[in-house]
Amino acid sequence: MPKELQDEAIAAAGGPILQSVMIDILEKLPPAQRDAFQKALEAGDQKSIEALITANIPDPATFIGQSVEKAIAEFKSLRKA
Amino acid sequence: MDDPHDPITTKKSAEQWAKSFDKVEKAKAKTEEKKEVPVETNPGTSLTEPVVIDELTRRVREERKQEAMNRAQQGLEKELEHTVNVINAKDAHIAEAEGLLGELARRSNQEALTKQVDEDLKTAAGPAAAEKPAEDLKAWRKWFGPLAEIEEGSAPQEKKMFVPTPEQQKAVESIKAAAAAQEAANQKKAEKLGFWGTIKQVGSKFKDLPLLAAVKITEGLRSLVPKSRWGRATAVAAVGGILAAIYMRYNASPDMVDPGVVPPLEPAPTTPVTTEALPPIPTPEIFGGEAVVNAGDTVWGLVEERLAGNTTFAALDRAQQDFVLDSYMKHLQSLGESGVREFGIKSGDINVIHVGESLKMDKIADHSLFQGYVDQAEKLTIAQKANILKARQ
Repeated sequence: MPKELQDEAIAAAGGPILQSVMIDILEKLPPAQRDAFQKALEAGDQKSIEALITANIPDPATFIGQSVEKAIAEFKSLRKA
Repeated sequence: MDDPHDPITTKKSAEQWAKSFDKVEKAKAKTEEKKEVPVETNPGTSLTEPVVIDELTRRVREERKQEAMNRAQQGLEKELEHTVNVINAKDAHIAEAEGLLGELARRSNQEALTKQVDEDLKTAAGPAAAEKPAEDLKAWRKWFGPLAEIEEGSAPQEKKMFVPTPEQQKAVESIKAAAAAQEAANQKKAEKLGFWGTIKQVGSKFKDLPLLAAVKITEGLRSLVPKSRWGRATAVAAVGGILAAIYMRYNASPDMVDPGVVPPLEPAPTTPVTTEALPPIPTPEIFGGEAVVNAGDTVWGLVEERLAGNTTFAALDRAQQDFVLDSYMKHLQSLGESGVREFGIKSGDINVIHVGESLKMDKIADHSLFQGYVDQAEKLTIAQKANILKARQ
């Protein structure tokens, strides 16, 4: 498959995977912090986004890694279905 | 030290002192004589000569003072005029420089975005990135396109119109279907949280990314998986950077697309596509009134701005939207110089617009025109879309 077409396919997967990770993060955040996360997101405030994740999720790197893994597995299962 | 003018401390001989006194006395006597002699200057006045001299001297001084003031004022006025001219010239240079910088910024936007993605992902990968297992990444890509045949270091392939095989089309369609299904699942979860609006927006913004950026971000996300062995140490920074980037750096800018670079796919209609039963229906909801050109605007951007609020247009994917916009550009160009001037562009060239010009959007408010472009866009093949997206980069 030509690279362009392969890229198109890969890019198609990225949005939903990123959405899934965001949902996992939002679920972990205390309700009071979710609005703050949304505001930081809309402001493109990277530091605040990171601070909210780090402050509210234990071992956030592992959590995010597992979240991405889960999202990709879900994506693969949906493709097969 | 003695003051040479102090009569007490200056050492003079008695003779010298006597001469000095004589001189003083004589001078006094002369002065007294002058004061005592009245001099008639004008009839009826009793001014003495010294007074007249004093008065004349005062007047001359006044006149000279006035002249000096006038000269100073004239000098200041000239200086002020010069300063204003300098400021105006500087303003003009600044405006010109700003215009050039804006143009440069627009042109380098795409390049900057790509570089920024590289930076974000470099941060994400951390020092372990150097150990990135190429085979692992290759396997990941292969999953998306099992027929991957481009190897690193291979000779660049000849650029030609690619026609995917049915199997390849099926593979890509299945990926897109999986993406749509996952987004639907995400919607359910996000609605429960009350954040579907935010999550949906992230998805929309991701779709608007340049293809290369979207690929790099997807691969970057995938690199955060613990099993991939590389780059998970700074996962928080990676996700934070990607999200911030999507919102701040990749806010879709119409200026990122040069109307001249989208390759022709099918002959775009240069005249409205009409139906037999219905006359052309104006689309004031899209193109009513006029659009005033502001700094940094392009015709493409202004048309896209109007179309963005239309649900039919919004439902199209990025490549289809670009096709519709490109069709409008071709339609405008087909009007010729005079037609473009009637549209409100004094230069007669849609690529040369000026701040303050009012584009008469109702000139292209023909629903059948819009519908014709949308119909064509919906028939684009995957390969054609890939070409459009490639041109967008």
